[in-house]
Amino acid sequence: MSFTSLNFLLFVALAVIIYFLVPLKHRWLVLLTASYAFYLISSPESFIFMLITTVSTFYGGLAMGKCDEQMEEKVRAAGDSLDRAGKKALKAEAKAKKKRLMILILVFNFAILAFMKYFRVYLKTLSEIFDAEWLRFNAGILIPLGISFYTFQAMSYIIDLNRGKYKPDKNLFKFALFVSWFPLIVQGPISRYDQLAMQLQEGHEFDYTRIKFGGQLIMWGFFKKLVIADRIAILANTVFDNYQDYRGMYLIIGALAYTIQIYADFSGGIDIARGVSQIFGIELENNFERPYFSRSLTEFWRRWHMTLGHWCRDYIFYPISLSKTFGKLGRNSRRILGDRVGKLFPVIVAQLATFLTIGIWHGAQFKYIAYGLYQAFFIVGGMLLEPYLLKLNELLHINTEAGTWKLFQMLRTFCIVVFGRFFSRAHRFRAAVHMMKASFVFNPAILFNGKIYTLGLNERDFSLLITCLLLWLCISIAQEKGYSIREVLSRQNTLFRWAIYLIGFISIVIFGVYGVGYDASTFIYRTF
Amino acid sequence: MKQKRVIELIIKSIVFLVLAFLLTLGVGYIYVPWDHEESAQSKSFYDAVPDSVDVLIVGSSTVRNGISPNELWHNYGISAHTRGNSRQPAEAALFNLKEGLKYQKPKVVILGVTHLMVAYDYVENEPFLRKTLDYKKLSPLKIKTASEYVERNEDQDLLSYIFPVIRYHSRWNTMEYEDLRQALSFEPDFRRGQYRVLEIRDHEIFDLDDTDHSLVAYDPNSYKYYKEAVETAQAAGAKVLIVSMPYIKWSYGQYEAVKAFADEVGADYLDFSTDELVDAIDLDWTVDMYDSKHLNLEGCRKSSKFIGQYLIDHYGVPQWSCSEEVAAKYDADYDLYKAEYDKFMKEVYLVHEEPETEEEK
Repeated sequence: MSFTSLNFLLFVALAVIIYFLVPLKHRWLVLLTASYAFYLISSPESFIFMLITTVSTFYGGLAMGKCDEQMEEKVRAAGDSLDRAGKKALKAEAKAKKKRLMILILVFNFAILAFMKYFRVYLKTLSEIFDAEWLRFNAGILIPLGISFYTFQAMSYIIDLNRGKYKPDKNLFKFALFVSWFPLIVQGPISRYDQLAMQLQEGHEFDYTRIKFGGQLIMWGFFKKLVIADRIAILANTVFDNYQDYRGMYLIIGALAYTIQIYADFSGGIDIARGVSQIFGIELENNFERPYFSRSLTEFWRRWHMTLGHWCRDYIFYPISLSKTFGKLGRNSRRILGDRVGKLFPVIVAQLATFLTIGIWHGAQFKYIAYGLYQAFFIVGGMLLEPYLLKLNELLHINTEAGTWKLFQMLRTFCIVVFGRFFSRAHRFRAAVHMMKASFVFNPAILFNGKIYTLGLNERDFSLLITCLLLWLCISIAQEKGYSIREVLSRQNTLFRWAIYLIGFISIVIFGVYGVGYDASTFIYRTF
Repeated sequence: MKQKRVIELIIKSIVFLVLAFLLTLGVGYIYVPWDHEESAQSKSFYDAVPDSVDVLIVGSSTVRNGISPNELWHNYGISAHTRGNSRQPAEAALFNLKEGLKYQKPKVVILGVTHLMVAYDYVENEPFLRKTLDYKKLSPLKIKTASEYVERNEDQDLLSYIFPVIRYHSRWNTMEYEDLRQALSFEPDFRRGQYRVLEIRDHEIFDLDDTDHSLVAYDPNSYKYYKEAVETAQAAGAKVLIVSMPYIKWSYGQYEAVKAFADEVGADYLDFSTDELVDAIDLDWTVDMYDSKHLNLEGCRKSSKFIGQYLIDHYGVPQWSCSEEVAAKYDADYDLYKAEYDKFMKEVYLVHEEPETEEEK
């Protein structure tokens, strides 16, 4: 069931009505039923995989909790007879046991993820290398809906349990709701147990303002997905699907189009997920903070797909960069690489691991690994060159507080991001490299001689697209300056607000890309 | 207080949905590709004086091209109206009949059963399916017919038949001011549902007796709907006359099959491809046809004249029985029709030259 289908809206409306009719303490059951119903309708064949993750993580979590309980029991039973060292030994024993359990659960669940998502590609590559057709026997293996999202979400619970951040959930069904909450099962945001679970479990009162705001967010998500993303996708698809026919500016326009498409598509989907959740009284984490306004790639990754970024930061970057092993390695490497680089060494390794994970998370193909390494290259390069660049700024008397400098930084970052999209969108790594090379052909005339209209969008489509992008830009600037559009709107007269709603609604109906004759893209991140 | 907010939300939601519904319908009206012939014919039928039509002609393009209500009026004083669309499936015939019976109480229904033996392609003919419903009023009957179309073409959805803007929304991209002007203007239909062909394509002489005599099987789906159409008309107190208009690719087996169907459902049957009727209407296959299955305006005049007499002789259809107001309208429509006919005769029919024979070449 696609988020942008009428069936989905009717499904949500029905769930909302039932939710508010059921007594407060049982409302979480409505959410669980709705979530499972959504999954069963959308992807019944992969339901079992979500159940396996849910059950294994829940009972694994209970077992880990038991380790703590047993240890506390032993300490209590021993009473005063146990000295400090004894207590410490018991704690260490429990900790080690918990860690072993955690690793077991992580390996088990990530193995499922790896097998379902990556095994097919590995075999395909092997079959190509060794020309072994029989290795393609697994072509029918399905990729369970939302597996990357719910696995990461469930695994964050296990890791945080190990860190003692909270106690394990004692109710399988309530935990199942945390793993399966339907607005975010398809494409996130990847939420944390301590941020989401309680919100889901406690019943929420009816709140008119919240419902209104949720509805507005859903409509905005629809607009971004159907009017902007799926329209500009026509252009991006034309270029990327026939990349060998294009050179220079065509390819740059293709990459630019995809850069906008993926943002409108993903953030549109997230807006719908957040809007639906908000109607039920559940606040999901924001996944985007106007990433294309970033002045550096590091900042970009703080603003883009934030929940994945936070996940990688908490469970990959920090554990590596702050680990004793890498700390020691850093100290040793200072002797060889010098003080500054040696000090940065653990951070560089952590960055590489983080971006490698981000790349692989998107898919098993080599192009995704290249995409991750491309990001790491610029970030690590920036870290290593930072003192020299600062010196260069001083030398050139650059006022780094000037608006023009900030704008330059934004454009520079944006260009790096756009160029990197060749990796993530091209059909394969070789195609991406080919496109990157071919993009250096100088042919800007196509912007003015009408050839740009041969890429699938005619003049009117372009005009509409540019108008919508300008509208989005204005809204983003206002948000960047701290204005909440929804709150500003809520202060206006009813007549004005309703006019806006109706214009928004009919604009989506007319200008949305859907229906017969269109191959409207599914949400891009649904496939990751 | 909370209850008050809930009620407020419910009321606001209903009002918003009603407004959105009306807006979507209204915009859909503009976005439907405007076909004057189709839209004007639908509108003129809805605008006709209730219970003023004695003969309702239902069927696809063969019937729509082959019988002229204006000729029936001018020659015999029969009030008739055609409800049909090109390349329509049997469901559309049933729909047009049922909807027609809501407004009129005809004495006779003339039914064309072109697709009785043809499995209709719902995917390929989607644009024609749209035309059967796009210009019709929204009603449970329309929704039911649309849902039957949708069942047979999974690419389509019912909602797009209710709100045509869903189907045609992408037209904003190509629409010109003229489209908007046409959508908002209305030209009256003086042809009373007839579709006229002002062209001649050359054909050879056709003889039904020389064709395949093996009986052709009915398409089960079409059979079901045509049968229901006959039963519906009969239940409304109308006599049913099934017609097959001249068709160069017709076969004797098909004639026999339709005849058997007419006998089964208790309807009369006229087949204008048979020698008897070809002679009776003095049909010249070489010049009275447009293409293999559609009569041009002169061919239509000839068949209409015969049908008019048949209706009087066999069913006692009332003549010149309309009110003065209705009669005046019929006369005015005929004048416009006649002007079009005369122009066709003068500029196309009478100056038509037969192609050279092989020998002459």
